[in-house]
Amino acid sequence: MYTRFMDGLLTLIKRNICAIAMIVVVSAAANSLQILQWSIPLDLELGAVLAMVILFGWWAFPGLLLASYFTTSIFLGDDNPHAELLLIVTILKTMTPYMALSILKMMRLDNFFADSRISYRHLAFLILLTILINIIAMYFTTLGRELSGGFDLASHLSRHISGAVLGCVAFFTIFIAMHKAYVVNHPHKKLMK
Amino acid sequence: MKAVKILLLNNVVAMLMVMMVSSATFALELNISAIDGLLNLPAGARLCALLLFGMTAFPGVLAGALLANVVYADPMSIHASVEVYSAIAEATAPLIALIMMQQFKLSNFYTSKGVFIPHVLFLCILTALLSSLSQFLIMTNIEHGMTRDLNLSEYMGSILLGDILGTLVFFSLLIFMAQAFTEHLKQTSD
Repeated sequence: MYTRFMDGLLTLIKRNICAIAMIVVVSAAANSLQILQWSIPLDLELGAVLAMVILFGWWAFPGLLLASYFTTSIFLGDDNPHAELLLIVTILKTMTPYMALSILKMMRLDNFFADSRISYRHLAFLILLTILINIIAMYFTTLGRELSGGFDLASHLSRHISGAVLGCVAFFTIFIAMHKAYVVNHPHKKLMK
Repeated sequence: MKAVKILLLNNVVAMLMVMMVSSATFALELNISAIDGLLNLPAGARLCALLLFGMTAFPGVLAGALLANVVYADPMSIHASVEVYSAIAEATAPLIALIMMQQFKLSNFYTSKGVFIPHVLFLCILTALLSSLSQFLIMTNIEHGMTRDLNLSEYMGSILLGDILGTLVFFSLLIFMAQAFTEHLKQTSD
């Protein structure tokens, strides 16, 4: 009993550390492009959150929440309209992938790994559904509030959508390539068979 | 043909890994001044890429280091005039450290149970030492790379500390991540 509890606790810690490290690194990388004033929006963080949700499920929830709060508070400037809604944005960013995944589970569209290969159709549907829920939630959150002057909700949301789609595509391309390279080169391949 | 594909994949992934971690460190150092120069995570990424994918991934590591140095070049830095040399030295240091450890028969980085920590730890320290030594050589041999009022010993100390902490933190995180992924893969395959 005690051993099982300790094993579970260790797994929980490992998965959460993994989630925090992944989200912080990916968000910081995306933020570095903003610092360089790169005009194309790239929301890599959403891709990373989705990957962690698919891989680790609710185990990684505390880590994702912490990492989202950290990245939102550190990387968003005071002039960003999200700065006024820090906590809500953090919760939304963490919860929406879980909501999308629950919907996909109900519709039996959550076979992301079929015959040890990634099912791109289901993954693409999950990405689109998460972005849709994210946008709707963001719209209703910002609707009744007076945000920073000159804030244009329509252009902000369209930028969000393009950033999220591009970010997810970029992240999953890199992630799948890294995963393939890791599996090919891993010294304990037998463990993964 | 398959070997060429794997080689290409390894090099592309090594380059992306180094680039991504370099850009993340750039943003973190800019936003959190407390860790400025204290955590050189790209040093860990370069070493990890070579350790995971083998020495054949060196071109990818070199390309990643050069690209990161060009894209995130700071014109105010004392390295500004020696960016390219600095990137080459940073990319070569882990390779030399790995070769040295292989020559001294200290390259048992993996055991049947997982990563063999003592050898990896020694590799991290050796890489940091070689990296700071190469920076020192660049700074002293290329005269316009160094200003007169620079305290070189203090500067080299900070580079050494940043490299050691960066490699150790990166490897700790990576081992956690690898264990989490391996456990997950085992569970899903079961």
